[in-house]
Amino acid sequence: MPHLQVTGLTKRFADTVALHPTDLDVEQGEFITLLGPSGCGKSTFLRMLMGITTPSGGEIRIAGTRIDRLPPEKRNIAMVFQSYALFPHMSVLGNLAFGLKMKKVPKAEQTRRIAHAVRICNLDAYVDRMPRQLSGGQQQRVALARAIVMEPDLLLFDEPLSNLDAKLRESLREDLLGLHRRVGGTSLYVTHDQDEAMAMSDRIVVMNEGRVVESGTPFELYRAPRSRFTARFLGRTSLIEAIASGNEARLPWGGTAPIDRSASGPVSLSIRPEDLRIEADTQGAAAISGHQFLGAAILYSVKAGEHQLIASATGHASPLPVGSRVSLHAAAPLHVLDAIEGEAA
Amino acid sequence: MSHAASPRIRFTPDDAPWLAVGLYGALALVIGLPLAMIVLWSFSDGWFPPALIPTDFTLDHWRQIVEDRGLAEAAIRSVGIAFTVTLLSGIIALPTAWAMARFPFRMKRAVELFILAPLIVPGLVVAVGVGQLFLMLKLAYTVPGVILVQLIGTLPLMIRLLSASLGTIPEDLLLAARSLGASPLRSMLAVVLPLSVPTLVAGGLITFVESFQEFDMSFIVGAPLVETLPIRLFFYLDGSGIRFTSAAVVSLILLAPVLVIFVIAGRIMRDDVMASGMGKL
Repeated sequence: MPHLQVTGLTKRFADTVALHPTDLDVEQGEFITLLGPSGCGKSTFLRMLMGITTPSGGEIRIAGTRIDRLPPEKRNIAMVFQSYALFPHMSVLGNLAFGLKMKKVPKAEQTRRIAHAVRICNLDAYVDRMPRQLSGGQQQRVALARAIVMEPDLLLFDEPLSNLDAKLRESLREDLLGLHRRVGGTSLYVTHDQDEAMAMSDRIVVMNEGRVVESGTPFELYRAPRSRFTARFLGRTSLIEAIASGNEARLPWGGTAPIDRSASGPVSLSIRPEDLRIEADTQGAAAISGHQFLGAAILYSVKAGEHQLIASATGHASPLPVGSRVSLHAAAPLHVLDAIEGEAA
Repeated sequence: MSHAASPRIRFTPDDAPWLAVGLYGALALVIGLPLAMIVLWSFSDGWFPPALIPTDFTLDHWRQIVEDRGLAEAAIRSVGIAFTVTLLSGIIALPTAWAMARFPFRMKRAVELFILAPLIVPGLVVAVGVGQLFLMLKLAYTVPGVILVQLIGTLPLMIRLLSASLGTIPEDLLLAARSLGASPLRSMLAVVLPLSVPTLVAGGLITFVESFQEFDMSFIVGAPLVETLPIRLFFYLDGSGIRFTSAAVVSLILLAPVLVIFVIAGRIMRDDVMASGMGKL
């Protein structure tokens, strides 16, 4: 049985649907990310798990027990907020002890759990400080420790890193993941940041307009997305309409390329920048229209006929000048998207 | 970005003496000077222009008022009433302000206006209005009656102050408390109440002072059976003309508890807490 089992969870407001009926199973110990643009329903989903928004329908079960009718304080679900939500009038220690006192955990057990959380979150030097005396990153670690001491059935993260600067965000990502592994809990992480989702998750659930678009491991979703939405939302891609026959497709600017499954007739291809190899070629069908030097790679904008494509080049070569003619080659079989009804071409 | 173009001039330690002179000078001008005048008047026995200080001094004005036996009794009663009014204001205003600050409900604007209305209507009008009702309810000429009528005057301010400060408590804090196992009531007591202390103290001080000095409504509802200090003292200002000397003594007596309260509060509360509460005014 999955640890967290959500079936048909729905939220309707007066005249809008914030979340269409949604199913989600999460296994014990998994790190799942809900990824989507703002307004996609991921926050509504999270609030319903927490118990602060009442579902219009559906069920939430943890370890088989229904919890969707319980108030937040009766669910053993802890949350790490985007704003950290530390109690400003309590010291770090007071913040950590708050939940344990509320749940009437015995004193000795409180001390043990707090000591453990303080150690794994590296907070030894700060236990007596007030939240306002801490930096953003330190406050975030306190918020995390406060959630961990509860030994929750489920740990929720609501964009916890989005208030921090890029460098700190990256290092905290690793800390967070390390903590998740060490604590061994089940985590549900909500973000609109695809880098974060890719770097941390066992599994990503992509959401849009109140629905789950698709879910899978970061690798699956990046390499072989089913929908145009996922292809575009996760990383960079060029979406191209082509005519397939067998394991090859005829590209709109001429020439053919291998595709990753056999098909016939019109297909949509999602071409990642690294799927395209460009070669300087005065007779080439395409021309460089711009480039960004990213350090590890050069990202080219390439114009092929009517189509604007993105291609990346690694190595030590200096960037090709804008305007140079190039020929395009598929570095790997190009990915064919599913034909999904209602998705605009 | 006009800020970047014309940065504010920052104070340096060298400016400290000038700053101190300026601030204390202003303080002396707006508070010290009037106070000094009042003190001089209370001891004066003849003060006519162009003399800068009274020509003769006397303790008569003080003696006349202090020897009044009813005065101590009225003072104690006033302190008791002011304490009760302050306490009740806090207790009533906190949940009201919470509802005003947190929940959208039908006719919210109308309720808001209704709560603030006593600020606009003169106390005299209110007191005359409720006078008849209080007679019927046997609240006229009683201490509870005086407390009730004073509450009408003090609640709007308290509610206004508290709802401004409660509105700034982030929703996430309450959600965090809930998800950590606190019931709605426990999250109020453990999170909202402590965070409201500065505002409660600031509002409480002002309420206490307002109640202690309130005359119109207490007079109409309470006098002559319930005499508060202002009622007792105002008898000394008879209608035959302004008597600066008695007025000065009365003002000083009314001022004393107020000063005491503020000094005590200043000692108990940390400066930043005080300032953040007063800032809501």
